[in-house]
Amino acid sequence: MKKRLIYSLFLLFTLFTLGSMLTIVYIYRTTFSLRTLIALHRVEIIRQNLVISAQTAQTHLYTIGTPYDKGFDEVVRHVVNLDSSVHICLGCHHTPEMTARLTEMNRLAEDYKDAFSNFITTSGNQRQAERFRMEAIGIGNTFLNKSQQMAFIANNRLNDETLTVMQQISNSRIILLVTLVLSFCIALVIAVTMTRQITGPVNELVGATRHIKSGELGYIIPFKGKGEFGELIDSFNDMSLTLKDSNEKILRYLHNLSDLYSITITFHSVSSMTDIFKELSEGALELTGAQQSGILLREENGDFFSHMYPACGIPEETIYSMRIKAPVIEDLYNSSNGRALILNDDVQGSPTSAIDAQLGVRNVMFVWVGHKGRPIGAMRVANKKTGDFTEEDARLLAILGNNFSAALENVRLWESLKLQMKELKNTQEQLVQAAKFAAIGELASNVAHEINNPLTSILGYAQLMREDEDMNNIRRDLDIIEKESLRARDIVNSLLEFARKKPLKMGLVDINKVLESVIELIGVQTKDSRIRIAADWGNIPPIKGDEDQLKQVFLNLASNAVFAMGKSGTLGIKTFVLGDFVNIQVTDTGKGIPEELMGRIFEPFFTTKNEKGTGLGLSISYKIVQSHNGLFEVESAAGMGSRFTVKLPIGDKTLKVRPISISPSANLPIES
Amino acid sequence: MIRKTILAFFLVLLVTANAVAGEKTLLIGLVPEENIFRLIEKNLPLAAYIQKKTGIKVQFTIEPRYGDIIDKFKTKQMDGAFFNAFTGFMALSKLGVAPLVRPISPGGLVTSQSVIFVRKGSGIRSLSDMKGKRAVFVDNASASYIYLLYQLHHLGFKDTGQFFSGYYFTGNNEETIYAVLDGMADVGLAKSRYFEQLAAQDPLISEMLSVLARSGDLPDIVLCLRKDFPAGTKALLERTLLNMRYDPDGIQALRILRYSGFEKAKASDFSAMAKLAAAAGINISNYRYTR
Repeated sequence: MKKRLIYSLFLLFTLFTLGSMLTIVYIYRTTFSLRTLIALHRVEIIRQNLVISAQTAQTHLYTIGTPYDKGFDEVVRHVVNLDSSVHICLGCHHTPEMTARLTEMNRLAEDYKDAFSNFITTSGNQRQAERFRMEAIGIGNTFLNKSQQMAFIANNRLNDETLTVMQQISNSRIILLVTLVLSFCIALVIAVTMTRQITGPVNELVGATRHIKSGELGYIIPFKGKGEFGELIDSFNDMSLTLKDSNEKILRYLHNLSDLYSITITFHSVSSMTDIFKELSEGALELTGAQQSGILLREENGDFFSHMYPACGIPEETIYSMRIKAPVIEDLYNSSNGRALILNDDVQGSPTSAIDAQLGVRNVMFVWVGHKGRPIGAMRVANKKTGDFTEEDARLLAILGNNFSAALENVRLWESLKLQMKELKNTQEQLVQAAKFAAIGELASNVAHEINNPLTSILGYAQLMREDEDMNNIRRDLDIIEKESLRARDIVNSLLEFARKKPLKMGLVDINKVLESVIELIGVQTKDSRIRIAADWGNIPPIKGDEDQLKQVFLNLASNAVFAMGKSGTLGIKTFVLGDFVNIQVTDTGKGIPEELMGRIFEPFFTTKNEKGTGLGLSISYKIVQSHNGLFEVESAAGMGSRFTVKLPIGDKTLKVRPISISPSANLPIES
Repeated sequence: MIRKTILAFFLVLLVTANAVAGEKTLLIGLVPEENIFRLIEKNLPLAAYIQKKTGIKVQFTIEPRYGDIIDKFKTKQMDGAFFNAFTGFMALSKLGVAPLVRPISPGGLVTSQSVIFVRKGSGIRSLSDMKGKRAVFVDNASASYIYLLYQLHHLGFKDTGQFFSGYYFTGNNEETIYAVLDGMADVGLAKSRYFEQLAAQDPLISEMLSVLARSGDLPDIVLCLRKDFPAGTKALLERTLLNMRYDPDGIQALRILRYSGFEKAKASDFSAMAKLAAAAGINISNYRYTR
């Protein structure tokens, strides 16, 4: 195409140049002829001036001394002009004939000057003067005749030259016109041809790209041509085929990867070695198209690699006889740098060659399964249904092998985890048991302490009754005894309630009311101290929850606060709504929680109360709040107090943040 | 003082410039000593040179008779003229013209003598033999004619009509020489320069003619300007003509005129002519110098 383009442009350029040159030549020739014509006209003008001068001089010869005399200076000027004109003409190039004529004219002019001058200057000799005059007149007439003859010749020449020029101008026009028309036509033909030659293949290309865009990979343009477009279309066809091949390859890879993914997913979802071996063998067959597949694994003592069961395409009894010494596998592994061993034509190098013959193996491939740089197994596939084993087969099996290795490790870890979990469960049970004992002890201590007072009262009033005979007094004492007994029963029930684990009994709970009952319980605990309780009940909606368990949480928080303050301080209890949560703040002005212990306060059995605490209070409270989709916020500053905020969702809101937020605070705003 | 000097200098420049600007074309008269057309043709290169060097256009005017240049100098408003010896002498006396330059040749100032020549075989061997013969003259205002009157004066004759049997004027030197040679006259008078030039070209002249008498040296030709000619232009013209011989273009124009240059002319250059006229008994005030 490039050559055609160049040739076409060259042709056009050559034609245009030739036409231009021809036109220039004609214009040059015409110009030259015009110049000659102009020169001839100039000569004619000179001749006419010469004739005018001669006629003027001749007139003077007749009119001298008459009223028509033009004056001497004028005549002299004309005669001098006449002579100059002849000299000018003589100075040009002429034909020999014309030169002879001009020479004759020049001679006549000289003679004329002599006769004229003599006629003018002679005096005193009229006859001589007349003779000069007549001589001058004769020469002048001859001069004019000669001039007329020359004018005739000059006119003929002018006519010829004019016709030549006209013809040349006409020729120039024709040449110019032909050149322009021909150039235009050829340019048009070239343009149309080139456009067709360019747009044809381009259209083919555009059409082909649409085919490919629509998914018709491998579409071939039927255009056959040479040159750049031919090459372009050949390249395009190659590209199309390459795209098709690549696409098929990608699809095949995707298929293989899909298979691989399915197989490996299965690996990671099974937990028994037998299942893994089965999945591995079937996957290897599917990926490579082999007829036999299986895995050899290093035995526990490490001396041998033995074939695992189940496998595919190998009889069970043969499987168990397939044992290879570990150094053989290790040598093959090390010598190939971990790359697969592919034996397509000669299977003699196979580590299982002794059995391969028995199994009718045509070709075999071993892909190593390594762990920490050592071979722990070898996947064996044999007798590919179509063709030979390839590096691609090896790569796929290697991926399968890696996944197998991971799955193997997972199974081992799983087994190990199961064992550890079992141990942990046992430990936890023991710990829970211990905690229970501790809780029971604490409960017993509390029960004893709480019940001791009413029992003391009962005992005292019972002794008083024994000594008192007044029935009114006895009745009043009995009332007190009854009251104290009921109080003891409530305490016992309350503690039992606290100690017993019960399922959640969800219902609408008025938090403020629950907190009031907590304050009542805490009042018993703080009655002998200078601890002030400051309650601030907000306008809060009822929330969905287990009233008893929430009560246990708040009682625990309040109890801890009281413990933290010792003999004096302020226990603040405040409720309010913030966002979608009901907030319950329990603050104290106690010693605060050391920063290094903040992260541990919700751990089971963690306590700062020594023998007075079980370490389960906050842990259980946390679980209760969590079971209500609530969260804990703890702020504390050493020496200034702590603030525990329980956030419980209003309605069915669920928590989407970490249920615990713990932060030390240097400026804890404790409300009094 | 300095201011006055500068002002005066610029005034002079202005006047000079105006004078030059006003005298764009000089009208110079010529005396028809030879064929009038050739004389003009010979002088055209000189005019072209002056115009090229000074910017002043020079136009020549010529009259058929020598004496007409005296009469028409004022009527034609000529700026100057190339006078021969006698017309120059008359112009100096009658018109008060100022001599400017005169030509020189390699031998010095160009001078001419007036010669009286006769045709051999005419039987004329002395001046007195001329009596009763046919004569031809250039012009009655030519120096050669004055020389003839001088000789006739010495012979005791007052005019040519009494002495010659017949005579006429050709108006130029060459034709005078050829008239004698052609037998139109027995005696002729011409300027020696022309006689010698023609004799050098035509051997017949030496062969057929003989010189009977010769005057002393007289100025050949002198360029004189009118008396009121602007001084600045006069100086420019004089300087141009005097330097002409040093300029290749000038040398070219001079060669056509057969001169090698120009020298400054002065009134005393006409002294010899004045003496000759006086010796011829001519009273310049009433001399009839036109034909």
